[in-house]
Amino acid sequence: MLAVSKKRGGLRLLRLMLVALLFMATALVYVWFRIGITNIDYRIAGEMHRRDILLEENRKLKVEIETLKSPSRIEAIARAKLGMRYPERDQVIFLR
Amino acid sequence: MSAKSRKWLRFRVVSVLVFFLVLYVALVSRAFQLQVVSGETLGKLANRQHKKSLTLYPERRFIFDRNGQKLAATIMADSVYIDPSSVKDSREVASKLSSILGVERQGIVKALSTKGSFRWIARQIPPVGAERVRALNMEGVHLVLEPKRFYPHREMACHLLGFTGLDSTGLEGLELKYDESLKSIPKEVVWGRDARGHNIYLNDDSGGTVEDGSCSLFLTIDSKIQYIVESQLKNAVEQTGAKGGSVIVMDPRTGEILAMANGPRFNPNTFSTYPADARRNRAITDCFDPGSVFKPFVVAAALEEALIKETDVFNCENGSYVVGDRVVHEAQNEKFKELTLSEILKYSSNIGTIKIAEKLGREKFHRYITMFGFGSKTGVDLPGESAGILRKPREWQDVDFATMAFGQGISVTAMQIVSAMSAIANGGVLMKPHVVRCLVDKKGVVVKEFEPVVLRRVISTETARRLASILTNVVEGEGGTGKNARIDNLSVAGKTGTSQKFDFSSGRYSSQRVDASFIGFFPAEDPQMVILVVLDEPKIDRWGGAAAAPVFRRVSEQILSCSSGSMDVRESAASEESGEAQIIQASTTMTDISYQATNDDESAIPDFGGMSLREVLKLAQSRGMEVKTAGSGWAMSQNPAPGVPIKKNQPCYVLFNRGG
Repeated sequence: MLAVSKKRGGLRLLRLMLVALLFMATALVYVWFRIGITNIDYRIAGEMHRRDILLEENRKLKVEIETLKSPSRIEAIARAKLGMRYPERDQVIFLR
Repeated sequence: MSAKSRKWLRFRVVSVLVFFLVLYVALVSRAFQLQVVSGETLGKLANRQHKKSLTLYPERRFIFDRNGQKLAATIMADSVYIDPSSVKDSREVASKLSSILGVERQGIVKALSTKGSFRWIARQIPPVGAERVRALNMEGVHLVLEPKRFYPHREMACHLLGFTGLDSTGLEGLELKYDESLKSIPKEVVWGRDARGHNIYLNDDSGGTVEDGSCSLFLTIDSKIQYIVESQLKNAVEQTGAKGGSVIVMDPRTGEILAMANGPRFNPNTFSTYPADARRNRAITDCFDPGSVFKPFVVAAALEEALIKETDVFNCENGSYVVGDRVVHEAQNEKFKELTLSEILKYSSNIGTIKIAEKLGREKFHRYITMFGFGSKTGVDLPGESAGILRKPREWQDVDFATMAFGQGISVTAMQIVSAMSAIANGGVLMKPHVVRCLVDKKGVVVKEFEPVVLRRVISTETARRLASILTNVVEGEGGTGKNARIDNLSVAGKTGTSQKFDFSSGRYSSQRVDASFIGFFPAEDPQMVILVVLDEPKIDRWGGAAAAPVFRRVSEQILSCSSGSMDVRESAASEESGEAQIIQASTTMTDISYQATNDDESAIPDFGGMSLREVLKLAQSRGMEVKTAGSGWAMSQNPAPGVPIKKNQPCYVLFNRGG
């Protein structure tokens, strides 16, 4: 009778330990995921910062393109470097 | 186990239970106090520690020309501020910042001596300067990014575009007029912050994804034409020694302003370094006596009222005509005896025009010039427009009425003249001038389109046609005052003008200080462009025909060279004789260069530039060609290029850009 009762007590303890282990494992997994999420949040923050920098750089480059396309600049290059000039009236031929 | 030890065991168990129960109650109470009683306050304190909110400056939208060329953009620029409480060596900081930024040393020292933790030192500095300040790595000296308006073409279209202040608020021009449309709402972004101050992404959209409704502007301005106009005006001002000048190019059929230039110009990127005089949009703000360019409107009124006809002959009194107590003379002391109506405009006779005005009478004269838009604002979508000065007929003396007939004693703006002449070029219909074509949102969707607005019919189509023919004779006829505006192969109608300026010191019109002008349109048979040139006080070539008409010719020739693809050439009667000369007749719009540069050739790939997706697909379908599109908004580039012959099974790739 005493042996049966001891055996039952041992099983209950084992069950309790298993539940506690399961609880701990769940908690650990949860913490592991949280750490992972936090790391990803750091990476996202870093990438977003990088994106902002690249977007700004892209914007500046686009503006630079417009600056380089400026007719006054092109005319200056055409005249000074390429020796071009506006055509005379008789040099312009309109084609049908 | 004895009863005593069992009792002891129970006591111990109960003690432990009570201990944990008390502990539990204490914990729950504390949790209740933290979460419920002081929850809100502590939550705020925690958020202050863990969260960082960042206000993103409102991004001002773009301004494009009609072909999608960027005329105004916003970039981020560094600004320097100091925290006086953290600066250790004030002298060193002041002298180093002063040498890099070019700011007065005393000013920095003064800022450093103030209390507080924030003082601006320099705003929106160039990248090189920012790098040098960053390299100093001095405590208490900080850099922060701020939006800065940038005009990539510098002086080009400066008076139209205007400029913004340091806080990105429009102060002049279109920047001011469309400030509400261009500026967006400041946005708040929330970041997480760890113990070391590093940023952590928070999936928190409480900052809001507010649609701010800001729009980019697409103008009616063609930057190619604008550039031509500005460079020619600059040359003319330099060559004639004029104080300044204005040129306006307008499409008479729609009221679209294709170019508007003034001299002197300024660079809107550094507008504060220029005097206010250079920043004024003279074309709409400055009033002047128009002189002889006003005569066509008097003639138009008389023709419309059928009071005169082309063959009528007028006695021009041999150059002297008494009006009231004054004697009116012809310009350059010319002496004309009898002139036909056509010759009155051709030789720009003052006396002949007075006689036409007398036939018309004061009331009708006033009614017609009012209908042409003089004396009231044209309604162009630019700030600061002047209405000019037009007095009531009952206030006119006899001599006032006479001088007004040839454009003295009435004050008008350049915009009013070009708008009125456009009515003649447009078959008698006055259109409302405008410089903005449409507003486009961030996604490239057209939010508002400005359609051409018909103001009223001023004269009949027949009168407009007859007048155009008379004005063609001014330019193309032998000895016409506008002969310097003549363009080979193109029929041009126009009128010269030279007006004396009122000298406020002497209280009379000056014979030395004049405004020289020329207004014309082409092709005379089907006008597509009206161009006005006004030079303010030219020192050399003081007459409109000598100073302004050549500018008109050069501008027109260059515009035609750029847009030859849209022109058809037909042989004129003259060409049949000479075998060389040709008259260009417009077959399609020259102003829709971007849309139809080569679009009249059915076998060639059209120019899709600036078109919406719908327009591109429609045009492609009509040509039976295949298009492949990418992006959204307006067509910005294409492959193959316009003008390339269409090949079977060869798609045309069109790239769209939202313009933002």
